[in-house]
Amino acid sequence: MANDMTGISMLAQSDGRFWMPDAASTSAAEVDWVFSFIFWISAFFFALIVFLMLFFVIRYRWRKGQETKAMPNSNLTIEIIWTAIPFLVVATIFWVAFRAYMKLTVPPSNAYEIQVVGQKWKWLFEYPNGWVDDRLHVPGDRAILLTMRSEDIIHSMFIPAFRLKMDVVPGRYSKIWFKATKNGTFDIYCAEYCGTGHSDMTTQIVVHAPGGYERWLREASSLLSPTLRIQDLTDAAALARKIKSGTDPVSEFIRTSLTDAGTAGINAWNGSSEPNDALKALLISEINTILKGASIYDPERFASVTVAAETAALMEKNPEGEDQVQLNRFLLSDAMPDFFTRGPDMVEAGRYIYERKGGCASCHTLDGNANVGPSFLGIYGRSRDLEGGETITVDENYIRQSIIEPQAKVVLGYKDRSVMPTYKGRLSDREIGAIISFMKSAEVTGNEK
Amino acid sequence: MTTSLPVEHGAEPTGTEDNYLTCDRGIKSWIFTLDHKRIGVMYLIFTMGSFLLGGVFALLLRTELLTPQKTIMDADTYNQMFTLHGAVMVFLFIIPGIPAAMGNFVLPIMLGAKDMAFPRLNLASLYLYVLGAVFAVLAIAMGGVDTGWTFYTPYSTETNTAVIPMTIGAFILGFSSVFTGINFIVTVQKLRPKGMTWFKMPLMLWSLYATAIIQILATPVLGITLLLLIIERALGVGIFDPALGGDPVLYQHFFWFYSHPAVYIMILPAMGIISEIISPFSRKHIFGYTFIAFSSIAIALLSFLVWGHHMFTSTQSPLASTIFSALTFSVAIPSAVKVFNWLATMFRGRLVLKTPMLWVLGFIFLFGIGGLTGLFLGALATDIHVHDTYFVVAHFHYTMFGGPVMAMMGGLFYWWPKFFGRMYKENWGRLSALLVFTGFNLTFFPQFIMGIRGMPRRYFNYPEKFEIFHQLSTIGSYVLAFGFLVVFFTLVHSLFRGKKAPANPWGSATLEWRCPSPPPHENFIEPPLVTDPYDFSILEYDEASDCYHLKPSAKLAEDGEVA
Repeated sequence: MANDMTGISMLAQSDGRFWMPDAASTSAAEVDWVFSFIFWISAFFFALIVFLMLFFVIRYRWRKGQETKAMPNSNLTIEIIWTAIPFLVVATIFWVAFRAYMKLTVPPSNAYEIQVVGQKWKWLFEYPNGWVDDRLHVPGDRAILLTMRSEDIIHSMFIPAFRLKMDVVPGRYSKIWFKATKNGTFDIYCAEYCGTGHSDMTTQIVVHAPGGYERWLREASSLLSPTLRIQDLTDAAALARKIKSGTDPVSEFIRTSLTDAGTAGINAWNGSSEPNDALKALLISEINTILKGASIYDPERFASVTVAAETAALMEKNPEGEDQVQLNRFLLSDAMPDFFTRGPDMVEAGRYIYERKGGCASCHTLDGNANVGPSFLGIYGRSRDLEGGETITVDENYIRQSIIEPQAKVVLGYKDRSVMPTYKGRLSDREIGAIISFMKSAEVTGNEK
Repeated sequence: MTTSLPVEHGAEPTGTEDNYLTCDRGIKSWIFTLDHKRIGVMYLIFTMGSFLLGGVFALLLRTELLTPQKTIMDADTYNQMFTLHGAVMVFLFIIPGIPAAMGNFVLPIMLGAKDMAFPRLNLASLYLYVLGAVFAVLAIAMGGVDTGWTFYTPYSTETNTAVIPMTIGAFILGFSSVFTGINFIVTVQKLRPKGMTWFKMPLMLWSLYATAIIQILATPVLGITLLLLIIERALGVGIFDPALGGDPVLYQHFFWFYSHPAVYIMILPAMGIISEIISPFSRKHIFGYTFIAFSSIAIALLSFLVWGHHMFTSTQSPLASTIFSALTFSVAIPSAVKVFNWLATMFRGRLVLKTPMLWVLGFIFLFGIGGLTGLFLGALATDIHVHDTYFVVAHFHYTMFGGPVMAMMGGLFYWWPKFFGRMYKENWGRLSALLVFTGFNLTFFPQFIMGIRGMPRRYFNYPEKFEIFHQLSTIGSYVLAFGFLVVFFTLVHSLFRGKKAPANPWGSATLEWRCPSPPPHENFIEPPLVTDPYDFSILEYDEASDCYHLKPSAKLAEDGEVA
């Protein structure tokens, strides 16, 4: 703090503005203009009223022996004038504010749409590719349309820096739009009272510089993806050599599965230098195409490969979708160990879902203190008493059921505050698996030491 | 306490020795009284008790908000505190405060009548008030309510706090309010004595009449709404809860259809008091009588057309919001007209700066801020930003406290000699007005700043950047509380040690000052002489008794005119 600050400037904001906060959207500028307009009109009339009042108090103060001078008790002209002036003033204010309101109410047709879910007591944002996050990330160079719904009661999306507010009502969709004018992070509040955690139902909006949003979304949504990313490569040269000239059946299978571009790329490589980024990207794309195809398992092809227990266990389940891709990645890793990682770190992914995508952290702590829900610390593997007298052990099945049907088996003592909505259809099996991995990790079980 | 007051009067000849406090003794004489003055006094005691209760909740809230996170209570307790503060202040204090407590006492006397048109209905309204209050206290005893005083669905349908007793309480209080309203309208229509034409009525009566229109027309809607809420909660019939096929926004429409007019139930009688005080304390006829009178009626009627301005962000259609915004601004005009006429009344007057007038000056200052900040809320673009923030909290305290509470205090100090026959210490009264005014501004002005900067209301926890404003506000609330302590002490002291009040200590020309202080049981022995309520030339000051009397010449002239 600068020591020359006076009492008043201490109350000012970091950018020196006194009333309105930081203005970071196109509508903020409009609203601030209307605000100033009304402010100065109000200030004028207030000053006039107080001035007259004080002036009269001093000038016409009662003194002994003085009588009131005769004066008419009404005057139609004056009454009409001071009825007409407020009428004109408020009509102007209405019109000015209405014009600005129309601009901030009607979204442009090409706005980029993000879905918002409000629930006790967190905000969740669903991006067009299906990724969900508890923070609102937006590109700074586009108009954004938020389509909002509630999982339980009424909430209200409030972004002070954008001068925006709209209730989020169960049973209907509400919409707001904005176009940011500044990059950076701004506060989001819930403005409609919603119970115990109302004042903690806050998050941030992150406005990205051009390209930043797409990069963030790609990164974030590949968190759980079993496909290969550049940073997963641990030895790109060895991998490329294997594909170019390996003689084992798996290498041959890959070589024959390459696209024309892949074949041309690998042939053009000299076979010894470190592959450049273009070649790496090409290899990743080729391998991901294979991973996303049918199962690469074939008893003959994998005859000389040691299949890991983890791989065999997954294969047992006849997986589909992303798990099928994961199985292919396991198989390929078994055949070519040390060239790339076996897949995303499920504990880290689980943590991300706990903190962000699922927003579990707003009700379940990791420090053993009960919040709205039981703490996750040391919960895995313990037996717990339920409402209704039953006792269960917290295992994979119980965690899974608690996510899909939260009210089915409530831990004793949490019935009254049990507000958890179902995550059925909102978290994939793989994501639930990640949460379970996270809950089984040393940090959360408390077995770290 | 009050029943044991001595049976003495001011200098005015009275014709009777007993007054309404002493004519009948014993607890039964109060419980079964049909005297509008006694009913008014009991209302005064109960509403002031409620004000104290609501005030204690407010101080606890402000203390909690000294720091972010927990200071003295947890989030759930905090949520109950602001709900109880709001519910008690609105339903038990401000709505009945001026009309039922003061209106009951002064309306028949100002009119020149012996009592209300329906004294039994009047007593019934008091009984209902007490019954409603019992339910509210029951709700507090059963663990409180945490919905906010607005009982918004679907939260109020699903919270496991004592919503049903509290809403039953509000439902019953609504009937109490309706009974009072019916009585006021019928009394003003039917019991005007000879010579009391509509335009000879004091402006207080116009505003009480306008208030009664709202009480009768709007309150039943609240009753039905709360009943529907109770049915939904108790029987699971889907009305407002979308999970049961209902519509939560419908509840908001119903609720504000009553609760917006209800703010005019609070402010209109307050404006009436201001008109009553400002004229005698300026020693000058009120300016623009007809405009002030009709502006009350205009406010009452327009108040029914603006409820949607509470719902600009509720997902109601932008078209509806636009229409409600336009209609909302229309209410500003009659309010502004009143303020200008009050100022014009002061113009070239002889301003007597005694306690009641200080509360009036405070009213004009604070209500001015309250009214003008309403422009930001009626305007569409700015309301979106400040809705449900501390800006709204500050605004409605400037209007609901700066308006009705300031006026009620002014009225209390103005009519106190009439109510109880005692004069208070003038300088203590002035000090209390000054303290309340200062404390109030310190409490609520910082809330405008916080609100504009984005601090949402009903927040237990808050970002660090708002802490300084919360702390200023809390300190202000302590000053405010101290101011009311001085009010309480000044008034109670006067009951025991105060000088005996003359019939007309202020030199007012309205009829309540023609009967002794305190008034006899039947107010007037003979029908009073009806004169212009703001013509002070008919009075003369008597230094010996420190009292104003009717000039004999005025009496004769009036007699001639009436005859």
